[in-house]
Amino acid sequence: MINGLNIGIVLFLIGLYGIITNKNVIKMVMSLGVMGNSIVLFFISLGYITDGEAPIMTSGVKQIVDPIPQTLMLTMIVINLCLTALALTIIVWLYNEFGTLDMREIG
Amino acid sequence: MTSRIVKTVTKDLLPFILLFGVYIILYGHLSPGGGFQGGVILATAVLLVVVVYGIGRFQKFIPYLTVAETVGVTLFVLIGMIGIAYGKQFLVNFGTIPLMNIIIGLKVFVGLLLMYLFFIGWEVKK
Amino acid sequence: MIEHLPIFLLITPLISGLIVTLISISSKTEKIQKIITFISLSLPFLYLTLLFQELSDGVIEYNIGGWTKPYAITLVVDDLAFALLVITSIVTFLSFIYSLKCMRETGGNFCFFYLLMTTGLYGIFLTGDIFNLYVFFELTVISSYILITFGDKRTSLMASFKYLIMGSIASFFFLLAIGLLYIKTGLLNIEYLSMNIHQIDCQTQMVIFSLFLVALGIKAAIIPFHVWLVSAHSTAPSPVSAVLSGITVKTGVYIFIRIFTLGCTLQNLNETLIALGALTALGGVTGALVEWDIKRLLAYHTISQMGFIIVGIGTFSDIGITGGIYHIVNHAVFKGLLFLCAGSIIYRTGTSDIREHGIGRTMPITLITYIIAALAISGITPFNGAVSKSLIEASVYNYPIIRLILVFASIGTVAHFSKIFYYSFIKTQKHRDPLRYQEVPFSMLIPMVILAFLCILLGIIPNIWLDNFILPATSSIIGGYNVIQFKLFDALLILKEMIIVALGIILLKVIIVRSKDIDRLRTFISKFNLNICIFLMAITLVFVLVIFSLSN
Repeated sequence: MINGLNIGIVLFLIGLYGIITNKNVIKMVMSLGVMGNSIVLFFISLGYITDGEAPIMTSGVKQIVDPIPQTLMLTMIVINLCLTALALTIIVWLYNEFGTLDMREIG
Repeated sequence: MTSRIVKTVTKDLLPFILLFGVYIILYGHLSPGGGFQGGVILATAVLLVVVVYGIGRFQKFIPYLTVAETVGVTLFVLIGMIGIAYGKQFLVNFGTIPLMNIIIGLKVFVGLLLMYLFFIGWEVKK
Repeated sequence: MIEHLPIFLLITPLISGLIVTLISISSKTEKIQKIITFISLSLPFLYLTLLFQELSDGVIEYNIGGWTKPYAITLVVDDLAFALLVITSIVTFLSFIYSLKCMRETGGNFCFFYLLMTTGLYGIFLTGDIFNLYVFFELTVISSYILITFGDKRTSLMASFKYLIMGSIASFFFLLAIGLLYIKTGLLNIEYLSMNIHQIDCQTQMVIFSLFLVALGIKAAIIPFHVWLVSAHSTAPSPVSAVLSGITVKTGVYIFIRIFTLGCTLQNLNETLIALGALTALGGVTGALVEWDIKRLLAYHTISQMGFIIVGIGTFSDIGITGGIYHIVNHAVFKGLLFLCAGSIIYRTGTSDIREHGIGRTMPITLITYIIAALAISGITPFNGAVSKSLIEASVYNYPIIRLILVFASIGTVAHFSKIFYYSFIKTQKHRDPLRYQEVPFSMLIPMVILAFLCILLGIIPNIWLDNFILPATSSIIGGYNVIQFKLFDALLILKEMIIVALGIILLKVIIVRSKDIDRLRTFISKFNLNICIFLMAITLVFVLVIFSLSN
């Protein structure tokens, strides 16, 4: 029952709850990070085959884990990095304009 | 961040971290790793020096880094187009995957370094 | 060289953007950058004319990297993608010409991000691989977050941040749906997925559809998920608003058409979509009742027109999908024109509140193009809105409640555009200096005139466009080719439009007279901030899952 897929979905919902109920803008960005990493966990456990080994083609390897979700996740981690950097830049700009980090006071 | 122990250890460890990053970039097509991962390790090594020794000496590199970043991406797309000149499709592999790994590694290194330098520079100006 | 055209379509804006950045480091003038951007945004017209001749032989496919079909990332150009590519190239090119005079003080960065967004948009319509679609979605949407912040800083930063949060939630739901599709079918190619999606068991199909509904609902601004659109599109600079409202909002509907119309066997899919679409059409118009800011009004009407498109596509019949695709093309044209007109008025008067405009007769070309666009969006006969709206209303003929809701939405549309016309153009303010309000500069007039000309052209001879562009697009989705002809100047249609216009003007009188009640409605609507709407989103997801599990 405790495998990567279920924990991934639980973390996703925790991240979503964090975005809904936080007032501080930086905590919302951190919840976005939690959601992104939960998707990484979900995808990597999609490809798991029981008794499979890591997908490195050395000799004597019989059954490998599926390498496609891992490739997709490399791309996704890079895109999330750009998104987080952009969100933090906008937050610094907002702080310079308004002087507060509270979501309800700004907008 | 300016105690003597930290400064000495950083100065002695820096070449090894850089070497490890270059190793991960170059072996990327055979073992885990590749362009993005090695680039992040290289950027972390230089960022350690920036955090410990202060940003003053790095301000003058910023225009050169921007040029390097853009040239890197342009080279990547142009190497992909070499396949078209030979009659096959875009991004065909004829031995260019390690070269593309190196270009991506350099670009990620420069990009992350620039991002961090801009953030720190903002803070100091305010 | 001809078979490499799809990849040239992607590489041209990308390399031009990089060259623009390199030049902007060395030189400080913007002329060379604008010339390079202009050339690279007009080259796709050449590519698309060459592709049109190739397209008559069949679907064009291009595998990146030389791999074979199920394992490669393919770029697919079929008729649906071709129609949307043409409209993308037209709208981005004309908005760039408009922005030459309008965005003066920004430096080379504006051209770079604009070209990056154009690359992303071409990539979305060209790609045939679902994870590649996610990558291009992110490229488009990150560039648009940055482009929105070029507007007025106090309001646009918060609007961009809210858009960022909602867009990221949409991307994460989209990725969850991709993961579920991959684990059940093992395929990532869109064409193979749409053929195999009916082999998945019903429970998982339900969950996949609900996740797609949330993801695409946020991107296409269906009603519980629409919170980000009004602030984001109204605080962006005008040419960026035209591209965002014209094209970026439609990409959600496009991917929905690709995956789901072929093989989905869920039972209540039609009716859920039609109900949500009708709710969106009415909700957009209702939300616009309380607004006096011209760009916010236009953004609310974007939501309403997206409701029409979703009703049209949700019927899964060939008249409905034809109407939906034609309305996508028409809406890009007339909404782009409306945003450019609004931008011209704001450029000359400096304020976006319509009660303070009062230009009168001093800007004649803006007045004429605005009248053409307002008549087109209301669905009056010689213009293009009438064709697509009547096709959509004809496709829901067996759901009378939905037809009534769509008629109410049309009445509201007429009322609001008459309101803008009355306040901005007719009512002159006596104490204004008329010399200040000359016509806008020539380079801002050309795109408006060209778009107005396209509005008229798409409306007067609809059968040519239907036969050559839209009906092949429909047949590439549904299969089978029904000839649909549109009879222009049908008497019943003109009568219906006259009734809608009359009722709309009566509604306008009601709005002007009872403005105090309207203000109370405004304070009620402004309580729907971001957190409440994400909560409503989660409730809608649960509700949709419950409906499906009860009916299957």
